[in-house]
Amino acid sequence: MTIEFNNNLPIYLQIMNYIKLQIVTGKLGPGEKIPSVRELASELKINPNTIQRTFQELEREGVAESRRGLGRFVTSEDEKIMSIKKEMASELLERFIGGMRELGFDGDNIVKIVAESVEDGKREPGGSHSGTTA
Amino acid sequence: MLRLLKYDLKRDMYVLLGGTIALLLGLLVIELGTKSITTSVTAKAVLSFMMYTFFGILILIATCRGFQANICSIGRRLVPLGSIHYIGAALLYGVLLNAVLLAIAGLQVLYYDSVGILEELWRLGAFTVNWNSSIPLPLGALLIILWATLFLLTLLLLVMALTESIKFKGRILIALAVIVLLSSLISWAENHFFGGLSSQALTGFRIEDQSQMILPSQSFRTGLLRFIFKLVVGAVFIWLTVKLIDNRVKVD
Amino acid sequence: MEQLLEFETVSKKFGSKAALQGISLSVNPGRIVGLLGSNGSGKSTLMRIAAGLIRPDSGKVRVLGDEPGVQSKARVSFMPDKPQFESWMTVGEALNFQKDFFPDFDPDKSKRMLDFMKLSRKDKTSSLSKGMQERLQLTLALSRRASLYLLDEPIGGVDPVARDHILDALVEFYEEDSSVIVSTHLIADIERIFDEVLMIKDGSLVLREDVERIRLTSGKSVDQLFKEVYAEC
Repeated sequence: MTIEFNNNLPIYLQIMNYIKLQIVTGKLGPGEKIPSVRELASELKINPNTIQRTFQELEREGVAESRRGLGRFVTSEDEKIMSIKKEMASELLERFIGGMRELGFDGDNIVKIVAESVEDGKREPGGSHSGTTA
Repeated sequence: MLRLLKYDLKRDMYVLLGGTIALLLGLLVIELGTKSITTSVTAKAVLSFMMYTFFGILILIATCRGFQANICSIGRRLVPLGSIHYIGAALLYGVLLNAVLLAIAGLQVLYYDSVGILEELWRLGAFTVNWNSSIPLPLGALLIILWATLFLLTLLLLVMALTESIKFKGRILIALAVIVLLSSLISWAENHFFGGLSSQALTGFRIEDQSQMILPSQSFRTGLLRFIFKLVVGAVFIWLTVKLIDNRVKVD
Repeated sequence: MEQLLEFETVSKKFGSKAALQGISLSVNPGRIVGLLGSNGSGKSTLMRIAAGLIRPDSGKVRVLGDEPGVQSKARVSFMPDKPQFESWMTVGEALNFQKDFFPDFDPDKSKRMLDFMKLSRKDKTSSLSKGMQERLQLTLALSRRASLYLLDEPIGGVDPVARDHILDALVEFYEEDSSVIVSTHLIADIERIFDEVLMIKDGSLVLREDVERIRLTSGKSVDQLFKEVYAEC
């Protein structure tokens, strides 16, 4: 796996988001083992201390849990995974809505455009949802 | 120290092999070549002697150059050994090569002895030896030459460290001046304290009339005092060299 | 915890030119520290003092608790910005040299590193390209299990692809409980592996900061911050 890092943002946040994304998309299943610090460090070419910090934060948020002598595992609580999903979705939405507002769309218009886009997407499965505005 | 020496020898391996071959070829040429020109055994002996002297000087130069390169080399200076080890390795290098040179010379003497040339040289008075010591002459000569080499090297290494500590131009001239100055100072002190005729740092052998080698004979007592004097001076040189390497010599 | 490296108002002059001016800093164990500065800012002098190659004119230096010397040399692995191997050596002989003189040399690790770096013991060091020479230098330095690694411009003279490879090797082969100080002026390529950075300018320390804190509080990359710091005067 590779991440295109943005040097302007803390690396540990970027890795946290990356792992969360893997959990949400099911690439890392509930209760599954997370790679060790060393493994991840050499895979991502990142300082092990940064990975360590990432894991600490993930544990603090309850996304991961460490079992003594066995390593770190993804939480098996579905609720937690759902809440990560929601959290990520709301981040995405916030950014999207912010961007749309900058373009001059108000709330109703945004909802309308989104609804149309989703409809288009249904008609052409797999088709790209390019910025078609009716 | 021995490990440093090992890498010095490895580095210079081809030069040393080449040098040995050149020396042997040179001796062969003297041995065979002079046959057609002259039958004088004295000429042969003198030429051979000059040959050994020449190679002895080459060895000193090689030792100094290797030492100079080592004390400036970053790879060597990173090694966890005190500066004294660089000096020790260089001294061993010089003494070892000189011992090899003397061994070759010894073989030649043995050869001369076996074919009767030695006896003839003796009879012709080509060289005279004054030797009154309980140590056998060959061993004595060997020790005297190696000791002289060792002592001279402590001086030369000090001068090499000194030149590497100086940044401005004309280092070579300063080095030469220091060598001349120090060696005359030492022989002056030596003569002053212990008497004698010695007028150079490279005592041990003195050549007179180009073909006369005189091994200095002296009473055991003054000989020992002289030895101790030089031992102290050599130790001071080594100490100074260590200080220079530690504090002044710049690593490239 | 014992500090691996400590400088206390250390100064060093070369002739009339001041290379370090009363610099103080310390490095804790288990850190990868970037020593950042433009050419001639004093990075190399600092490293060479820590490596025990140069003595400072004034100030105190402690490497693993002691003054730099024979003992610290055995526990500090320094990769200079110039070849440390001799031109007559093959790659194998250069490694043998390390093995002969440093008790912490790990032959197994050196073998793995040679493979990773695509070097062969039979290669003549004199015929290696600049990039391959830097790979060998890093192999020599990281094949030791040292307490402190000092890497002087490890990615200085190589193209970006080789640069990535050298960085990969660095993360792969450094010892986790030891510290690494990497001096460089090419920050963008390497900043993701640092824990903290020391920025020096004209022989003085101008900034010491945790890299994630820099990104978190200023929203800037270390590279951007570096450029700002250096543009000030």
